[in-house]
Amino acid sequence: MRSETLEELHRHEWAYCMIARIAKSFFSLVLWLLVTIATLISPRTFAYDGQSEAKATYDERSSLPVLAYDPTTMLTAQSGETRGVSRSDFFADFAKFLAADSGAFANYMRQAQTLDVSTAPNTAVFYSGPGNRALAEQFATANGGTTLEMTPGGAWLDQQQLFNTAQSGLTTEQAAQVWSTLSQRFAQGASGNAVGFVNGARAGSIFNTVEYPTLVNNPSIVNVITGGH
Amino acid sequence: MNITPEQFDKAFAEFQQFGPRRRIPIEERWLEILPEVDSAKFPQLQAECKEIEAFALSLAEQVRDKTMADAEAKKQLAQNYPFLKQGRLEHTWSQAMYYSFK
Repeated sequence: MRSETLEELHRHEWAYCMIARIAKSFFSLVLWLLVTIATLISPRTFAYDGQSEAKATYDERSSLPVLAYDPTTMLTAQSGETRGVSRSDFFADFAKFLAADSGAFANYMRQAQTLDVSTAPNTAVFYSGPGNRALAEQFATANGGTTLEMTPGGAWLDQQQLFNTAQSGLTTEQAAQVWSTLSQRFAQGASGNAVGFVNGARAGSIFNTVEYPTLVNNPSIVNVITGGH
Repeated sequence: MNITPEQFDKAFAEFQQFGPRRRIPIEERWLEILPEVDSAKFPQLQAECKEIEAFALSLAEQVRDKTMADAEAKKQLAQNYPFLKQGRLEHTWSQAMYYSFK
């Protein structure tokens, strides 16, 4: 009885070993085939926007310009600009791109496209430059006007404290971009006469780079009256 | 009667508030939310709120122009106004950065 049991055990052990060896060989073969196919069909580097293949060799990767991690920069790379990145860097960049696209920045950008920043005709009030916020708010209060900060959408976005980067998960530039999007929608939704307190505004201000160009191209705007401090 | 730190925090939060209520003059809003505070103190209170915002904006403009680090600016803001609570400091900083880009 005892010897039969041992014999059975040995038979089972041998069978398990054989199955394990066959399985291991099979998976090794599949893995080898996959690696071989991937190596044959993929180029050694990835080129962007006019980059010459000759320049984009793996060995030269350290001398290539670094691809920005900002997904918006990736999507808006200038045509003809030389940008290159090695395969491993490409996958790292792509992973970051996916993370950013599904992360805080993408979420806030989506929110900025839907928040309520609507205004009645002839009530939108803009400002930029030193001392002009107080003037704009006084004017809006006295004349039934609305600044972006007085809209429900502006209030919601302010509560998110986007520029507290550790809390929002955004960079300063991304936070500014989200607010720019909301500012653009505020200008797009304006109609009739718009008032801007903008004397002394910086050339790079949101008013000069986003709001004013949007107002000029807004067919519902009759006039943009500007003044200020 | 002096304004307590809690009252100042509430007053400054209302001063910074975005949204449709911002159309209402701040003195009216303070009367509503701080009935126990003598309204004669409101001009002084408003001047103090404006001073904090102006100082924060001056720091934010340097951060925007990359002439000062974000952490250094926040440190200076906290050192200048040690009575501000952490949440109020953070909101003040975020708004100052926003205003600096306007």
